[in-house]
Amino acid sequence: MSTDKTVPEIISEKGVLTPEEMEKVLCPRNMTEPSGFAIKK
Amino acid sequence: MTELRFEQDLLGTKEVPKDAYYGIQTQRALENFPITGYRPHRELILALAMVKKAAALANMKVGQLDSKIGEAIVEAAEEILEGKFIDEFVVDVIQGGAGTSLNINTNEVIANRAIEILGGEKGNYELISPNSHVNMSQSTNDVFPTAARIAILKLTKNLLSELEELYQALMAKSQEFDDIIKMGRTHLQDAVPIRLGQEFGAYAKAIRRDILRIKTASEALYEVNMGATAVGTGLNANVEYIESVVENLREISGLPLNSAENMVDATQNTDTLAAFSGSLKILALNLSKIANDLRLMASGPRAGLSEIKLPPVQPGSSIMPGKVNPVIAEVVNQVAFQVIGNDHTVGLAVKAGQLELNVMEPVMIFNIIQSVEILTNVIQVFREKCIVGITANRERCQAMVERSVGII
Repeated sequence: MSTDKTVPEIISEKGVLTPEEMEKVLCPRNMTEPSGFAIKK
Repeated sequence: MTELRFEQDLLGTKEVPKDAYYGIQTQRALENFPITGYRPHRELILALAMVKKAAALANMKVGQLDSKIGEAIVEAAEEILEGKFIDEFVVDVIQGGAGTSLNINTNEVIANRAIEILGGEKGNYELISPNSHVNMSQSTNDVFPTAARIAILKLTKNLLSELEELYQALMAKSQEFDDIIKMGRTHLQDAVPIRLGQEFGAYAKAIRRDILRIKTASEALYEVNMGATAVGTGLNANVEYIESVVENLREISGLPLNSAENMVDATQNTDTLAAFSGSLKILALNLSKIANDLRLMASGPRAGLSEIKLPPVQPGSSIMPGKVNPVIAEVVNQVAFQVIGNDHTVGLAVKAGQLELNVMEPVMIFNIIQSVEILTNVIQVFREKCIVGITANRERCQAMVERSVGII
């Protein structure tokens, strides 16, 4: 909130997730249902 | 100058307009209860005519009522059922006396019309008496509650039909908006994403529950106390008459009415009306919640949430050009407040019953009928002028999701 950056921007900067992982994890559509997902490395 | 005729009752003599089909006791009620200015609902008048027709047929069947008089009463009641003489029902909807004034208004109109049918002049009650003939084997205390239930059930059919259409319209929007992702909010703060279709699906589900709740509550209203007469003991009513009058009423009304198992209970307790009114109140609560959500989501257009757009139906301001307000959602809110208030009135009246009768039924029935009617009307405009025309602001919804800290 203090940086006014979006969550994907911060994760990308810090290199926490790969772009593919980020796309999966931060997909808003997936967040509208309870179907869980696992990060496959 | 209105021409007058004189009529007499136990309190004395009084002038009545010469052409009026109502008589002296209705005239007294007009003077005693100049309260709301509202007249009885048309459906209630028609239901009263059904009751009087059913009673006259039953009284003739058991040999208590002379067939010449009975047939004239039936013919007069049928004319009311065709829509004639509705403006002769003039007593106020809120009246002291458990509905006696409206029952008497009905008896007098039918008696005077029946007198005319037999070739007599209005007011000649020696020919046909409002009390002895039209009201034979009856009391206000069984006539009014029975007619009120018939009227409520008839009007509720329209309400349920409108509710079904609203449910379908909400479901259609749920499907239409299924792929639109927006921010969900709790405490009016950003929460996690939700699909706009899910919001509308939830509204539809609540309305589906309302339909079931109202149907369930209305089932208890099919039980009527015709034949109960004054205190539920059936004084002045023949057993065969009681069976016949309910059977006739089933046929005339087209409703699956049945005799109350316990007439004393059915004459003094009005909890079934409280339950029905309560189901209307819950519908009002749900509608108001939906209307509030729509107003929030449609706030803007530039400085609000602006996630959806409600169809513009009228200019919104006399001083701010171009402003359009969510007036249909606002009227839904206001109807809900009225219905909630009505339910409170019904509750107070229900608990005010004493011993063998609840004399407060007129105010209960006025409020319930008004609630059913204004809910029916507002649900129709809500669906036609608001719900079906709602559009989504997909880009705005998406932008807010992307900017949100909720996508974690």
